[in-house]
Amino acid sequence: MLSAISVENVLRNASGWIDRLVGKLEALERLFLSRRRVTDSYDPSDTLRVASTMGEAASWLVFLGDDFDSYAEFLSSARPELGGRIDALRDAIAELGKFCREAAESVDEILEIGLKVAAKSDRRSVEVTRKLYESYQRLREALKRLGRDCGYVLRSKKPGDRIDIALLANDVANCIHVVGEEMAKLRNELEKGMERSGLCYVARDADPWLADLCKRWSGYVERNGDLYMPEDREALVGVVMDGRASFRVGSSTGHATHVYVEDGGVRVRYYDEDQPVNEIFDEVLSRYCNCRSLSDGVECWCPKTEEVKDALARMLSLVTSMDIRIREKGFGKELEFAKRFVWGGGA
Amino acid sequence: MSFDLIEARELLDRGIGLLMQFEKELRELASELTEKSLRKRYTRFVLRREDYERISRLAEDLSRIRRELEDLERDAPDELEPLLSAARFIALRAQQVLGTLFRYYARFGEEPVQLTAIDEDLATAYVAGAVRAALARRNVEYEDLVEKAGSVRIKPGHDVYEIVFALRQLASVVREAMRRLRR
Repeated sequence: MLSAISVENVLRNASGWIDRLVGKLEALERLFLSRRRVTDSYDPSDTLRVASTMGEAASWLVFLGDDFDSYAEFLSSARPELGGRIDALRDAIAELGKFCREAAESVDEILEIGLKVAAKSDRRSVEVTRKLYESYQRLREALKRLGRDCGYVLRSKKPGDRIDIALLANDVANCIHVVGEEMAKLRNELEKGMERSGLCYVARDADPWLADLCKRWSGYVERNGDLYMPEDREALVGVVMDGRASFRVGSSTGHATHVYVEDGGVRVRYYDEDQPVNEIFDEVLSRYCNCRSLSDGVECWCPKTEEVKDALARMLSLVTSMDIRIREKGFGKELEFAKRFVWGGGA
Repeated sequence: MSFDLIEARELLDRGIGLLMQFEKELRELASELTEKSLRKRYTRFVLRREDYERISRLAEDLSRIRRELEDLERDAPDELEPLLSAARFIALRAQQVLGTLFRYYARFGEEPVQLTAIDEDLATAYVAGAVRAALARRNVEYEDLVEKAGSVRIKPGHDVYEIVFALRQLASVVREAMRRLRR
């Protein structure tokens, strides 16, 4: 009996509290229903990918800008008529990097998902902050000097406005595209006014001896095609401008040769980290030139004669993939082969 | 190295390749976002300071209800324990939801909030089990209530309104179970 009373008491009390529980939950339900809005926000993981890609682009643009800076002065001196464009492009690359960074940070800002289940719900658009706005305007200024503009929707936005993330990504992509196009134009301009012959680009004002050196080298490369690794063969190119010639002689970074007309002769600077190859280059060309080995290649001073031109062209055609041939055949055999080919004038 | 037009040209080629790659990725992402947003819609809650004040009072009420139920459960006959525990669990889950809202408010202020469940909620099975245990022992009809509780779902992606709606349905089942026991 006692138990029945006790159960009845508990039931009565509990029912009261559960009634209250239902009531409070109903109140909450009504509140949330009245404050509920349907939105078409983007998924945070997709938004994160947009921020990451923009951030990555910004980081790479810093490297690209540094590299471009290191060549800008040379390019301007090599092609003075392009100086203004080169400067503008240098600024555009730098400003594009900053713009991508600001865009990435704007998108990133809405991804404060610290609470695991809670996040800012308006994930579809970001605020055009003053920093984002100004970096975009600076990029446009740099592009204006190239006669270009970029972006679509961002053009009509002011600080404090909002922009859809997809539209911002599209605008950033467009700006990247415009800068890329200007880089492609510059590359084409650099080659403009140059005669293409085999592997060589020869400027109108090129020293004829160097121009012929390049063409002969290109011819020997053609003849010796089976000596090379495919990736090395694809990298080969020569450029001759006034009294300077530059040869890419392999696919490794810095595997190059510069030839300068100096004091009635020519100075040859061969760049290579591979000492056995340097030894062969030094020994074979020393028959014609005054050579010295360096830690990163060989430097030779040679008379500007027909014999040297042919020997140098032959030697330059042999250094490509020479390290591989030394490994396969041995140093001695490669040295003998080089001597025969360069000294003997044979095929 | 005093000059190298070839390297400059290669640098430009590398740069162009790199920019083309980023351009492509961003364009694809932009299309993907637009396309996905057309398929999927979200809900958010625009809560103001006064709403949070009201929620705060409701959270205190829920806390008190939970404590009272806990006290009752401690002294209750074994047969009532499951139901009291289920009711306490519902109050606790509601309190957790409100707690998360408050943490959000502390961090972001009156920004619209999107609060969604991340897991399948066990409350349904808990309540259904409790109703069966309490009513079967007293020979009271329970199948319809178990079925009703079983049909309530809190699934990943459910928003705060849907979660509270489901908890209220479960609380109503517990309330009905209590009524049947009192008859």
